This record gives sequence, structure tokens and C-alpha cells, in this order.
Amino acid sequence: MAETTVSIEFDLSLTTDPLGATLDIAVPDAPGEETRQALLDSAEQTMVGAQDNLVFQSIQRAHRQLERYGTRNDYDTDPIEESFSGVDYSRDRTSIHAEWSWSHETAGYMEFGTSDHTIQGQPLLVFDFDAGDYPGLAEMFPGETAFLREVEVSGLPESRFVRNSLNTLRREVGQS
Amino acid sequence: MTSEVDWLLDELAAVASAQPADHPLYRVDRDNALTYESDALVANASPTRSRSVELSDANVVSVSYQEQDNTAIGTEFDYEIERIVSVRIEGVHESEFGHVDKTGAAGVPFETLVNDIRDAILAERTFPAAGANGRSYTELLTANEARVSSEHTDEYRHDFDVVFGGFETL
Repeated sequence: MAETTVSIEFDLSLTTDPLGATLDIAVPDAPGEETRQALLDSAEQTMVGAQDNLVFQSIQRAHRQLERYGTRNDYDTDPIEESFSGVDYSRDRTSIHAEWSWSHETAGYMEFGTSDHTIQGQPLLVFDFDAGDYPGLAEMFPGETAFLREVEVSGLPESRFVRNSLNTLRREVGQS
Repeated sequence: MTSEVDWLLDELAAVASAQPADHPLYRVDRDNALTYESDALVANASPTRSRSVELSDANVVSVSYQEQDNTAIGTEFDYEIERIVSVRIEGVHESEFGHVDKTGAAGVPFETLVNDIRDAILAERTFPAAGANGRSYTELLTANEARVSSEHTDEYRHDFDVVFGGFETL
């Protein structure tokens, strides 16, 4: 019996808007339709089908890293985790496609970090605050409502929670 | 000191010296807060650098080591390794006193800068001589390309990871 080799094309990319990833697995040439479907079946099982599949593990890993980042820097990262869209999955005759993302608007800022910046009001920024927490502001605005022309915001450190999880996923697929 | 970071910064020397004199490209080792200004090494005065100042001096490409993954191979217990280094290219539009300008008149088109840097790295994609301490590489790849410019109004930013694949002899 002649040996044949079948190539499986694997592509995992980062998306930035919204922050997330797309995964494509294709079997462009197969000796027969049955072989192709069998290959795709097993790829589908490993990546997205089975319990505790690789994509699921990757997302868990991203969330764990995000939580650690949140603890370390004192940010509440739960809203980002809650904005996770779930894994969208589709399959056609020669390929499977999966994508997942975090739609929360700060997800990208936490992933990539931001530099110090200034936010300018149009024309004013209004904050309600607790006098106990901000004694300096309370002197200027005794009514616990501050009106400011601009605020200077310090930047966020980079977390890389999605990119690290994708690099690990890429390795796991390379090895299996 | 990470040899991969040093090697990448060296590879980018040609890109930096090809920049117009008025719009230089500084190379930054983000792990050690070291800046290479043309070819001279300048230690950053403050490691927590204020980037708005820096980006009005020059466009910046910065490199930082991220992680290593080991897989044991063979009977003599060597490793197949993968090391990941993050590369970040940043600039500010010339209207905000930076050095990015699409027309090329008052700055460098950001697109061109990103392409030059990627090309310089990918030209070495087979057997990059970036290893040290028993590490030798057979290939490098880029991954996780991310254009983050749209998130910021005047700031241009492009990030990608360089994945070094090879072996470590113990």
C-alpha cells in the first residue's frame, strides 16, 4: 500500500478589535473525502469539541493570567472576563474556523498597556467622589462633585494575557 | 541580558541608520531600560520613562524578552526550545511633535517603518545567530501581529512577537 502524506494547515491569529483570536484549520488536499472528514473530526474534537479542549484551556489560561494581573495592579478585571463572547465555531467541507474574543473596551488597553495620557473634558469632566477618599479634591469641591478641565491619567502596564495564551496554544498544537 | 534581545537590536541597526537625520529611530532594550541612539548606547535617566518626551525625540522600536518553553529530546537530555521576544514599534504624529507623517515630509510613514523593521528581522528567518549558552536556533517566526494605532488618536503603535525555535545543548 502506497504511503500518502496529508498536510493540515493551522493558522492562529490575534485580533485587536475586539481583542481575541481566530483559529483556522484546513485540510486542502486529502486522498479521499472520508479521510479528510475524519481528520477534520479529530481536529475539531481536540480543539473545540471535547471536554477540556485546547481552546478552552487556552481561554482559562488567559483568564488566570488576567486575574493575576488584576490582583497585582489592583484592577477589577471581572468585567473583562464577563465580556468574553464564547467560542464561535463553524465548519465547511475542507476547514474549520473558530473565533473568540473579549468585547469589553478596556480589554485591549490591558493587553497592550497604555502610556500616561491626558483626558480633556468637552468642555468639563464631572466626577462624583467620596470626600474621605480624596481629601485634596474635597478642599476645592466641598459638594463632593468635582468639575475639572482635564485629568492626567497614568498608563496601564502591559498584561499580554491573550498573546501569551495564544503562544502556548500554538505550541501545544505543534506538539500534538 | 538576553542574547536574543541584543541580537534583534543589532539586526535593526541598519534600519536605524537608514532613517532620515531629522527623524531618527531609537532602539530600546525594554528589559534593561537601555536606549541606542543611532549607534551610541545611552542609559535611560529614569527607567520609568515618560514616553511622550521620548516619542517627540524619535520613533522607537523596543524589544523585550518574554518566555521560554522547553521540551526534552533525545537520550542525552537536551532541550528543544522556543523563546519569545516581543517587538514594539511606536511613534507620534508630526502634528503632536512626533516623527510620523504619511506624506514623508515632516516624518517617516509609519507603514514603511514597520515594513522595514519586519523585513530586517525576517531576512534572518533561517538559522538566526541569536543563541548563547548552548542555545542555537534553526528558525524564527513572527506571530501575534497587532496594529494598535486605531486605539490612540495621535500615537502609532505596532506590536508583534518573534518566536525563536531551536535547541539547547545542556
